[in-house]
Amino acid sequence: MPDCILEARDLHYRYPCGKVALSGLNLRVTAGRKLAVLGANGSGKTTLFLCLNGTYKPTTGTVLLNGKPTGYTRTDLLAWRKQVGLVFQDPDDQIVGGTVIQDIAFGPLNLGHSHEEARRIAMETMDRIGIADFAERPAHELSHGERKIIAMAGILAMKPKLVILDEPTAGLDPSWTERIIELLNAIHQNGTTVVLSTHNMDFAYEWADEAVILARGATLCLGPVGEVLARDEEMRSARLYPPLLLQTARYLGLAGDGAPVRSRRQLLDRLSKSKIKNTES
Amino acid sequence: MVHLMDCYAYTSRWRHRHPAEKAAFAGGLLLLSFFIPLAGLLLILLTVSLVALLGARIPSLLYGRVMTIPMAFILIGASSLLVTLSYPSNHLHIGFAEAGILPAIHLVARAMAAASCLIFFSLTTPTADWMPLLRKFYVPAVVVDLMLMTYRLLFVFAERLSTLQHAQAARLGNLTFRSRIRTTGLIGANLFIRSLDRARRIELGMESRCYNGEIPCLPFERKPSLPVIFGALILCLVIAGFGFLTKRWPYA
Repeated sequence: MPDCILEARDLHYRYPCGKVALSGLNLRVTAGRKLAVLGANGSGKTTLFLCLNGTYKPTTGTVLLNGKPTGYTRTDLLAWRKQVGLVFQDPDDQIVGGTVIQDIAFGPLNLGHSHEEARRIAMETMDRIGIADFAERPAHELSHGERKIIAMAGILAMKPKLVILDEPTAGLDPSWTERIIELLNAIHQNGTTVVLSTHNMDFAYEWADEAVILARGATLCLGPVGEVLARDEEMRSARLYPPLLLQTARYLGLAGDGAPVRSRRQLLDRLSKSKIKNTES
Repeated sequence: MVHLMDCYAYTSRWRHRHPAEKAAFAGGLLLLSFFIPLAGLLLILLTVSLVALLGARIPSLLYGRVMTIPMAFILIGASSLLVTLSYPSNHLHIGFAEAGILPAIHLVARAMAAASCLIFFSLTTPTADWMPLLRKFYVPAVVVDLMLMTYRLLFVFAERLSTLQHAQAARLGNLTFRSRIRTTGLIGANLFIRSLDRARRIELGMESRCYNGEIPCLPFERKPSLPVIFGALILCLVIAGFGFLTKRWPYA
């Protein structure tokens, strides 16, 4: 059985105002995989994420980190958040430093690194992402896309084993979206497990290994992304629409037989192959 | 204007200089300007302006514009020294006070010398650079944290405020005086609720990054240069010496 890095068992969460956000949610995050969390607005994605890094303590239910139930003391939370980094949807909720380097060094300094080490880690992280020239700029002068990258860098600098991102591409133009996806793929290749929520089914379909559908604070289904997104009944019940690629492949009769059509490239390849076949016959 | 000054400071040619070096120069002269005689004040004004324009290469237009702001207040304040009021025989007599000329000149020179020191510092040192250094001067951590958060959130709320204003204007919320009052009230209420919400969320954001009660800061990348600091202090002493030598001059 593959390594399960983080698991949620029967999570319930009720906000102090009485609103129920999670009601019996189950989730397994496999180490080294890319997981997309899908669900309509208000389905509990953000609450789930805040439970998964210990910010919220579930009303009932357990979160297991590396197979062990998590504790909620200061030391437990510190160790937990060192392993599980959470990037918020709104970067302004997360950026605290006046300048970019001050902000990125915030996490490493909290983890107890010395000033020199924290500066070195921050510079390394910025180099890796290609934003080294931002170091001395003030956070408030950056664009929304730049701030999103900075917020991610702030978490990556803490070197978590698992990164959770709340809608990392929401509100970004295509070129920023592409940069963020490249970055996610790069950290995944370095061995980091990546979990993200998105409303972009096409992106989820192309990018993720696994997907989970949430609706009304509970898991509808969890599995390989190709299978999950093809389950029309669950998708409809969660108020989600299947990705265009999948619809097109089905329409053209390409789904099901042979290699799956998971990207634009694959679709075009299959189309051109079948076209050649058609002209030959 | 304050925003403009802070923005400029981030690109200043002297930004890489350690804040302590700039503070030694500007702070030393600021202290002096509280009690030095008139000739010394003029010398401070001249020195700081020359260092700002030729050393730090602050554009003269910007420097001039920023200096006119305190100037306007100070001139208004000083002008009251030039006026005498009296009631000789049941009617008000407004007169020119010759005796007020010298105190007025002193006042203007003193205030402008002090203002130039502050302006020099704030145009070369962005807030985000000097605030973390307060820890070294034994300012309580809570105060520094509050200042850092205030500085960061100021811009978040300023952005929110301008969005709200644009949105209200787009729905014609400021056509009449009455609606303008109403709109301002709504914006204020909205901003208040949002700031509470933002405070809660930023707390979650900080906790997610292992915040443990004190915002840690990187020290300034370079060490302060001792020769520069000593140089600045010696310059202050020279100006002080000159200033007090002129104490017996007329009008001093």
